[in-house]
Amino acid sequence: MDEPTTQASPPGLPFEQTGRPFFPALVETVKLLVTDPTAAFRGMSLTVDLWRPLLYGVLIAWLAGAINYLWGLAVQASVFGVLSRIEGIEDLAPAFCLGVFGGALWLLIAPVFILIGIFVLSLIVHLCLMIAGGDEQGFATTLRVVSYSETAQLAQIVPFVGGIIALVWQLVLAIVGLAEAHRTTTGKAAVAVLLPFGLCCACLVGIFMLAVLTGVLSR
Amino acid sequence: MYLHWRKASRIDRQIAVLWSATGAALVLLLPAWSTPIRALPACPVRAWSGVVCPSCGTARALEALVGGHWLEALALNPLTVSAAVLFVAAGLVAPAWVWLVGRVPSTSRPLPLPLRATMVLAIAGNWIYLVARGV
Repeated sequence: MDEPTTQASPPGLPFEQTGRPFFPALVETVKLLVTDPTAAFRGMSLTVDLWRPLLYGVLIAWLAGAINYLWGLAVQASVFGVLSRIEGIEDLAPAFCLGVFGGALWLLIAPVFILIGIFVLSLIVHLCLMIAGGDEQGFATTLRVVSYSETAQLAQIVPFVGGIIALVWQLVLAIVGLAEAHRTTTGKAAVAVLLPFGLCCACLVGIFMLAVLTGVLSR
Repeated sequence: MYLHWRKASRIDRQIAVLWSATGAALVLLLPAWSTPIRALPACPVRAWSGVVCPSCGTARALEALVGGHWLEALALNPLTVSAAVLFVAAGLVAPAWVWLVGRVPSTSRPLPLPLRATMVLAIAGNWIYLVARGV
């Protein structure tokens, strides 16, 4: 638990500025992180309450999950539609309904899991940043960067390969963000982000394969 | 020597609350964890190459931990299990600590080399243990 050492903190991203309308500020922040992540992370406030970046991260990741869910439903519906025309196949409506309600229930509780995920991931990345010697600011700064790097999850709007794009993009955003916000080198930031993959590459590869497989099957 | 104490800030208090909420959620959702943990695939690198990675045994260790088999969990991956228990325990006491004591531990930045070396040695030691034990 640390606080930033920076004396003069940047003004903050649109979503961090009080008095701005919620949704326009959210869209503006997304735009900035997509078009110019370096400037976005350089301008990110290091002193504003943590709730704002966390709310942003949870909201964006949840939205990405919802998009993914809708893609899954669309593909499932078309597959079930084709299958239902084949003779001998039982009524698939109950299975489809179960999928719809299961997914909706998941979306309802997902924010809790997203929040846990952001916090635990930030902790792991920050420990790796400490090992790399790049922790020029405190843990809160890493938490902010990880929250804003969730922007990459919006790539899930791309069918089938969206998950892979989101993963790579998030790694890039996190590296850029850590380098800018911690005022450290890109190399140290890259070590912090990629070291967890190196340490538990096997498990992560497994989880990744499972996620891709699940994504493909759900469609 | 490397650790000093400083007054807890507003951000520290927010982190303490968040940490506590995460720890509490992990404990409360304990019965629900065993299903996703069991769904994790076997370590593909281990299966293909036979090489034990630093996180080998984590899924089984967490499953044992969730099942209340602490010693078995510790034997499967000491570092991960210790870190997980420490994370939850520290999270649960963090808000009370920050509000009652009002001071938080801090280190100089970047982390001094001996502490970084200790962290690397802990990971390496755990890996050597996993290889030797054939987890």
